[in-house]
Amino acid sequence: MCNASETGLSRGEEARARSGVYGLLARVFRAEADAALLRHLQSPEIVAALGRPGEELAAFLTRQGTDRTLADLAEEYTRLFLGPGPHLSLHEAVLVPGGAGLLWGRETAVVKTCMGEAGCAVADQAELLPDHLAVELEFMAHLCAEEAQGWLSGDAVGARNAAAWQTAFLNGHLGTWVGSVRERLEAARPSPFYAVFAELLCAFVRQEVETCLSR
Amino acid sequence: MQENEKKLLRRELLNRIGLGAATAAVAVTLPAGAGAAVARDPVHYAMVIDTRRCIGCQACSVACKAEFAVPLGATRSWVEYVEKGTFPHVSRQFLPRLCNHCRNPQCVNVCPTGATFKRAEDGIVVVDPEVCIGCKYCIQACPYDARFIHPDTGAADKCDFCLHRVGRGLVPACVNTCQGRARIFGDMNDPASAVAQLIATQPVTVLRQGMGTRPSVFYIAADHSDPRETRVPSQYVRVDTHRRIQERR
Amino acid sequence: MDRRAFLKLGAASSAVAFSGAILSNRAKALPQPGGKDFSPATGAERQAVPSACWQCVTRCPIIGYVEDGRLVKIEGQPDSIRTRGVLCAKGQGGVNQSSDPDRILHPMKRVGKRGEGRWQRISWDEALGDLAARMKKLREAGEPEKVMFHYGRMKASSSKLIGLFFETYGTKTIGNHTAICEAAKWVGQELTWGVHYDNWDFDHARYVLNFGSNILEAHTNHVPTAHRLIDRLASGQLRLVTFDVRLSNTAAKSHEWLPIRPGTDRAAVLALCQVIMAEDLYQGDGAAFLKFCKATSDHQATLEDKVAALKAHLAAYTPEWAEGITGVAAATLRRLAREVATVKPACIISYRGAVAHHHGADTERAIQMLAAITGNIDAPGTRCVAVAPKWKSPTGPENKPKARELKIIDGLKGAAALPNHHVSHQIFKVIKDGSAGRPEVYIWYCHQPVYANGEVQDNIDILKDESLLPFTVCSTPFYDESAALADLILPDTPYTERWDWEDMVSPNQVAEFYIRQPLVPPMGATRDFADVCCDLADRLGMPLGFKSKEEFVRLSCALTPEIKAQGGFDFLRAKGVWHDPAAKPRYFSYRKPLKPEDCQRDGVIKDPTTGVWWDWKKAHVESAALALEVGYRATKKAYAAYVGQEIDGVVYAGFKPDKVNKSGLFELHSDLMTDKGFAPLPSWTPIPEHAAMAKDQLILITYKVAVQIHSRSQNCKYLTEIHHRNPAWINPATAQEKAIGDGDRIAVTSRFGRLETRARVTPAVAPGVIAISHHCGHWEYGRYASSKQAPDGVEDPDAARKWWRDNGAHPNWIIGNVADPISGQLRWMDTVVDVQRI
Repeated sequence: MCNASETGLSRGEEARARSGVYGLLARVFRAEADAALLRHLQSPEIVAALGRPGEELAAFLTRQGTDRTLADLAEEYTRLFLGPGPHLSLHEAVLVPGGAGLLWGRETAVVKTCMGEAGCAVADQAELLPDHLAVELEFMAHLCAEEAQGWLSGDAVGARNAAAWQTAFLNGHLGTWVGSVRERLEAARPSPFYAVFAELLCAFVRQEVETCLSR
Repeated sequence: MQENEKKLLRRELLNRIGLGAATAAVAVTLPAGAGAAVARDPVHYAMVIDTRRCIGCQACSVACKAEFAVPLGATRSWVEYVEKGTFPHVSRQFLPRLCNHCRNPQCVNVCPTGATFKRAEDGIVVVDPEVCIGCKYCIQACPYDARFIHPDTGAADKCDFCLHRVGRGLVPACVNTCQGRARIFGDMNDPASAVAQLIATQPVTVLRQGMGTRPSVFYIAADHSDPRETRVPSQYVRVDTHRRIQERR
Repeated sequence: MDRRAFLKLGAASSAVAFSGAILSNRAKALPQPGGKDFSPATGAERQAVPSACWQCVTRCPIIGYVEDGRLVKIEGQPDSIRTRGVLCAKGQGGVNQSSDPDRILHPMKRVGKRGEGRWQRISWDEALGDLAARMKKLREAGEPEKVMFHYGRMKASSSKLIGLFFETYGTKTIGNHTAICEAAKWVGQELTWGVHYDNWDFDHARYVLNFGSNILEAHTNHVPTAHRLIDRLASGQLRLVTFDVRLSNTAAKSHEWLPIRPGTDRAAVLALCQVIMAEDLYQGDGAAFLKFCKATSDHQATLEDKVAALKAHLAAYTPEWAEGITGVAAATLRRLAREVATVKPACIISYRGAVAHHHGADTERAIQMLAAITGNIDAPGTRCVAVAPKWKSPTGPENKPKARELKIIDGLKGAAALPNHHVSHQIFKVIKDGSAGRPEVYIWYCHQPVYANGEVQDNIDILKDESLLPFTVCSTPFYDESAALADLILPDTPYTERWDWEDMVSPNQVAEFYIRQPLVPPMGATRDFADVCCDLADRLGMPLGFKSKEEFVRLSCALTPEIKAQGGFDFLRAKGVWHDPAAKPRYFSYRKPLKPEDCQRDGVIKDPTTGVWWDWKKAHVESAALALEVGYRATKKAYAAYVGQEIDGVVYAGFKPDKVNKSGLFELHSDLMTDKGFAPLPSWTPIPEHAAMAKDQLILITYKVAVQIHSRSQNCKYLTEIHHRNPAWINPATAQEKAIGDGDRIAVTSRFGRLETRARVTPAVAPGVIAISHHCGHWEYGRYASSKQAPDGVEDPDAARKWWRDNGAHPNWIIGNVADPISGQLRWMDTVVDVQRI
């Protein structure tokens, strides 16, 4: 794990930051982009943090007016993830390699139970299955927030426990199928917006798996 | 530590540890507009035992024994083997057993001193060895043979859902060790909990349903065959209890 | 994007709080599955110490919990990728080891005759002074081989250190216990794919076909694989079909139990192979794998030739033929053959029920063949070449003598053709015979030669005879049946009080490093036998370069690059376990082509007869010319110089041989078997005793239960409370023929002796069989195992509460130390017996 001297962050701050990344990725894949999201992505710190992809993204987002961009992105989100017609169903049970390829598969039940044990459940109004990419990402955000809370309040044991939950969930679930998401998404010819986020998703989760294992 | 101090601590433990669990919880602040907040019912611990996942390895029996240094001859938790059939159509099913922490506990009903009681904050049925007079009324009354007199204290003793672990955020010893992850433990009043979801969606049974005890231990796919109740006289049904009391009660 | 960038992105995003839109949370603390424990009495946290179990050979990572200096609990290690935090009953029962009231805490010297049970406590100095003097005398006389060391279980760092000691001393008269365990399985594997551990990749299997393994109760990699198997089974991910004479717990959880006559599994397997070949179901994965197989004497045979040869060989082994031998319906065999060939991946598993027989090694070869022709070898979800961590450790003194050996460890003359793992159960017979010499000092460690072998009376008689064995020493924590007959007892520590680095195989093809460390300090005057060896080394004037096992482990952590990089000894002490997070599971290593330079190194040549590329220099051959003339197969220990296997002009890593000069092909057809006078391809041979038995005789089989290991766990009161008696299982039809009722006393008589026990009449065993478990019938080993207190036993309040009197019966009295002629395996399951009610 990166220690404070490497990244300049304390353990609590790092966990909070990781929670933020998961939260952002969850937002991107949960629903169509909205104005708030676009504003956030165009803020200077975000563009700087993202580096080259950030510039690409910024260029894409400012090519047309905001309304036009939002309409295009909404149409793309629908085309990519909702249908009608062939689309990418962003669910672990559908995309995990070796899985049955169906909604409400065994993985869905396992993920639901796991979240339940941690005290979380999908809110009714969200209308998403427990193994939807956005839900799994938000679960990781929640666990990272728990970890951050632990470090910041001096509860090292609680923090480590939350970290263990993260590792288990990454290895057992999220980490096993993000590669599939990226592959299938590439094939669907996404705009730079979703292409960049697919890359970021994959790269971040891979880093997370490596980092968590060496903690 | 003096004996008296030890005893005081024990009583305190029994009374307070449940509260400790609730207040020590980590509060996660969610932004406004987050998912529906769930109303807080009192916690009621329960266990679901999925016998499809049980391999009869007895790790739980020994873990419980070790956790509490249960004296030889007594068992807080044990696994029965239920064997039946005619060659070659033979089955052997495994039935892990423990105190059922009944919602209508017979032991509490009959206890003359109030030594045994069901905790309001989490539903665990406990015994205070300081108050217990060892009359054994509860031992007789329990339809599940879950209680015994501890030779050291002379008081009634039984499974307490690992109160000392659960109150500190750890799962019970039997749950921790189970190879098949057959024992699922949690708050049945929390609709998001695994136990609540399993109870709500799986065909669950309890032991000796007709006794009206309303157990908090639920079984999935349990074989309730009992040699005393075979329909066909020549049918082979054998129950091995793996404890001193070799007949199942 | 690098880590720092992501964290900046996250820091900037967390303020906006994008999450929280989906999940509702009851603001409840995450429950912890393990890694901590508390006292029930005081609530105080118990001290957690990561370590490794030793109740069985699986050696699971554990966490021991200590309170006021006492070991009070043992649990699974949540950080282990092998066990993922779970632990079996035996592991949990380990808390009874350190506090066993019948432990031996001081060195003890025999008083009076062997077996009188009279002892005198002596100091370590006196004990080791005496032993060292005897060893020195023999070495100076040029006869170090007359010191025999016989271990039962000895692995990893213990094995390396203690092995170094005896090697440095100069004796190779070293016995083990493998032949009473799994020699047949190992030799069967050494003849086919070269190495002897098969890992069963249940994480990915969709079909498991089981011949005689009771994996859900006992296995060499028990908890790691059993908990994975039940998970996939219970969640409907795989189908489990079990052939077993008895309804073991594994058979009970299986989708199908096929009762089978003892010792006939090979016939069933050959029939499955026959169907698969005849119906061309080998095509696809099987055909692809056959490229790497040897199926005829020609290592360059075409696929067509191999297929034709297999079909021809198997032609007579039809399901109808097999039905007559096994008792399993032909239609069932045919159906199962089609299932195992088409449901992929299939994991074909086997253990003692199938292989502890006459020609058991050939049964394992047949099972390997079945897996090969269906392409279920070394692939995800199949039986794979096992992966273990590779430790580096100190190698002792530079100049070691050329060790000498009494040739007595491979059994009686002609006992086994390929005793790759020796024939330990015949050691006393061989010593009695004396024609190959006798040891003057016989030392055993973590072993029970009296109880664990067959023909118990024979073992006792020979071990007691001072004219055959002048001086006997054992290192053991407990006063067992063998220690009771020794001249000198050195008190060993149980595993709860010692150090080791550990190296058992992984269930998921990714190696895990782990250590064992004392959970409590050694009690009394007990000492890890490895530490004793360091002491003896000093007394013998041959210091090893380290003073203790702890130091050896510390040095090993510094020498092993992966562990050193993590922080070495201190790191592993704190964490207990470690695996490389970037490691990929290892499959298909056999088909990796070698680099050209691997074959161009000086000394490396191709053997035209076998297609093997080997290093004649490494094999200590004088010249390349001689190497080519004599050939790879005929050169002694050429297998150690194996480099690769050439197939169709490409040199592959292949299946590296381990103990015999086989090629790098997966050898279904073995010239080594032909050399020894056996059929080259797996073949049916009836078991002689079974062919000759009378109609009313039964076959005695043995088995293990989940809460005990063979002989070393019965002092654990929590385990023995659950399993202390072992009534003999008899099928109701068989029982009726003999007028035996449930619970009746019976006499079971073989040509080796007579045993009295009780009957358990149950349909959970095939007719014509009597099944008696191991683990019982102790007459020493402490008051829980035997009702006898050991000399020097101490008070235990629980002892008064021991409610059972019946300690069961020990079947080994009537089972022979009879070897499988191929591998030397003790034939646990072949004994013919008469059974009567008494």
